Amino acid sequence: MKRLCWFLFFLIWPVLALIVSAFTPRWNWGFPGDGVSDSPIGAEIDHLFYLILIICVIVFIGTQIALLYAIWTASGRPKEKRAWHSHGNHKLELIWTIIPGAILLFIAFYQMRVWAEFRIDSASPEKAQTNIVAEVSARQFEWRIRYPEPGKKLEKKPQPGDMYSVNELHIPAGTPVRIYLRSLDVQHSFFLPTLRVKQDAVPGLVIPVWFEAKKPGEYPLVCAELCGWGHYKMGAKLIAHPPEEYEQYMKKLHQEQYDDGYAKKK
Amino acid sequence: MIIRGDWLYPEIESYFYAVFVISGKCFVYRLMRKISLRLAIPLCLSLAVLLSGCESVESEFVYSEETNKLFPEAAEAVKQSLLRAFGTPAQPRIPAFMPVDRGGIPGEVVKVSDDRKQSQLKLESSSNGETDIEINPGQPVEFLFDPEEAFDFAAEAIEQGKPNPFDPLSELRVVNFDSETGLLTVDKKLPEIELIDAGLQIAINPNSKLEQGRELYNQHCMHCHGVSGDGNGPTAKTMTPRPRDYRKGIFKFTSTGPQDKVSTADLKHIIVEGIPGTYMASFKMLADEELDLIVEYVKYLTLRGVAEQKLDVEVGIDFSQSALDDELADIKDAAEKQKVIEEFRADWEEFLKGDYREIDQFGLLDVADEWEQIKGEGNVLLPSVPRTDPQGPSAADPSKSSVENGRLLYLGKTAQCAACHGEAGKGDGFQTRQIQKKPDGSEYEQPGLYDTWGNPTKPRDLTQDIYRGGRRPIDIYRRIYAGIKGSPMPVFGGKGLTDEQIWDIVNYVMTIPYE
Repeated sequence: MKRLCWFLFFLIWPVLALIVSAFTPRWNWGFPGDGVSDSPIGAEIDHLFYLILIICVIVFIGTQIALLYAIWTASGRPKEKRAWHSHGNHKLELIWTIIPGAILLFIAFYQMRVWAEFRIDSASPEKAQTNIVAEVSARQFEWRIRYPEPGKKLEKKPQPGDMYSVNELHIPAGTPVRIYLRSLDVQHSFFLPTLRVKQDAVPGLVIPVWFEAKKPGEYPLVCAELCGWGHYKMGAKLIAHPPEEYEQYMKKLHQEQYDDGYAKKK
Repeated sequence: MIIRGDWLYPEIESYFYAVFVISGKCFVYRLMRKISLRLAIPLCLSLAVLLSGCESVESEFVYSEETNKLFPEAAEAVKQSLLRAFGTPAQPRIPAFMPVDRGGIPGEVVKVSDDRKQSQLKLESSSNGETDIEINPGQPVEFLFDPEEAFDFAAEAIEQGKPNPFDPLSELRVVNFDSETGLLTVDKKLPEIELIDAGLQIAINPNSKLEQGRELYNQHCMHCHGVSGDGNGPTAKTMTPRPRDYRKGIFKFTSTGPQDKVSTADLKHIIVEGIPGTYMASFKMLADEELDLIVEYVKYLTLRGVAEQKLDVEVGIDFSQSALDDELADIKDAAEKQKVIEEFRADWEEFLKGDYREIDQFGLLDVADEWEQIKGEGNVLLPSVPRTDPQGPSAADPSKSSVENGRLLYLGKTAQCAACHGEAGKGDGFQTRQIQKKPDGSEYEQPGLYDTWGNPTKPRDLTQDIYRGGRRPIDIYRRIYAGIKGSPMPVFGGKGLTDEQIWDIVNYVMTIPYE
């Protein structure tokens, strides 16, 4: 009876884990929205995520079965034969070094291309290197954004003619864009959940980040680093426009930014 | 103690709760058996002490310093007046004539039941096509009498020694509303007031928007701006600059003229855009309706503060504690002192019965009048001439370029910008090292500039490219034309500088960060 109890106790966890996992899509515990990434590289990141998840599930279930097998058979044996020392067993040592090692190596090489494309300048798409749209400065508790004047390039230092906005990052859709990420005070993290982009903003560093919104639309932009009591207030929007509409929007923003109020008088 | 939250889905949450309670009970039972009673008692006691902090606390409005400086009985009367007009944080309310969108379902009395004991009214709902309005039992009902007529009616009754006839109406609530027939039943018998008749406007659940606004305000604003809007919330203590104290009715960054009040649009603009360079963050993440509710609640707190100020001034002339202290200063004899105090109190009693009632009522009407322009866009300040091209010739002095002339004006005697903002615009002019005077004429102990609230303040460092009130040319124009209300930044528009000159200064100021 005691044997069965312990057997069931260890059995219940993998089973529970599988049941909960099966229900998670319904509870919306998985990826946000419909689960499909809004950026092209996001799909590849999701693929890597699911691959690692599957490997983990197989390893988890395998380990649990091995554990249950050990409990069940060992408890059936007489007391003095329940366990033995396997230290120095060359075959076993080889198996449990080589198999996990091979899996880790596989993961390391398999993800390298995506990682490089996402994080390494020279490996990122050419457009992502040239299409610099804005400087995003995180501060407690908002995102301050600086755009270059329409037709000009974004300079590292603010220029006369630059345009500013807060908590709304406008980009053209369907093309890779790059932003420069800064922090004006503490550490923040620039997180576009539906685009699978996350990058810490570190005081003193200017970090380039690139991403691409497949379709025009509004996407959430949040802070993913607990930055203080107003952390939640850093909920902002990424707004992707169709390219021609984007140009128009930037012109309109420039007009508003340099408004002298005289037109309203008439 | 029940732990609840949105962190789990309701169905599993209840399972977790059950497991929590059962395991908790087992745990306590086994613990009691294992450890002696001697240990269990202090354990239970400390648990009780811990949990006693979990009770819900009712928040309260604080009263201004000026109110607390009044003769105690006068202060009490002012507090009662504020309570009647503005309620408490739990039950906010504001008179209908105030320029605040307080919510409520409007209606018009068509007929009052002949037998007033039935306390029934026939209503015509003036809800212009809104079909989903819900009038529920328990909601408060307010009659929107003409304030002056109501005052006269009440005054007459009080002169005849009767109680205030409007008193029974203060807590009137809906018992039932039949939307088919428009028949409204209220929980009390209607008093004999001839003003309650066909044509009278009423409001059901009149302060509904204030209640919604309060929830949002408490969530997002209160921790800095405080329950009463006094800029003294728990997170405000360490902030420089301090969060705005609304109660003076002074707001720094407005689009309105020098003598004008802040507008609803200005308040919303600040909440949406935030104030760069300060702790005021942007709240673009909130829905438009939520922003509007917050703005109305801020207006409510502002008007409450302004009304309190008004009462303090009116009552404080004769009935401040210091006025009594002055009278007592030269009197040594205790019996004599007592007599003076009694006389003072008698004077107050007389004032309370006579003039105070008028001050109370008409003071609020005055506030509503003075603040009428807070509505909508307000009295927007716009330039009389367009902005001069920064590199082109100045409109004020065509022999120079606009930026050049702006620079000369900035350094010159008329505008004296450099006195505070410094010759290089670093906000380090000589005034920041001078001892300044308080509004009452005495001197501040520390050198430097101070704002109306008595907090030290620095002139803007113009090299930093951060403009708190906005960076558009029109924003900077307004800062110079109308000054920054509540700060030492003076008004230049109208007399001091022409619009052409202001544009030159704006153009120069906008080049400072890039020099």
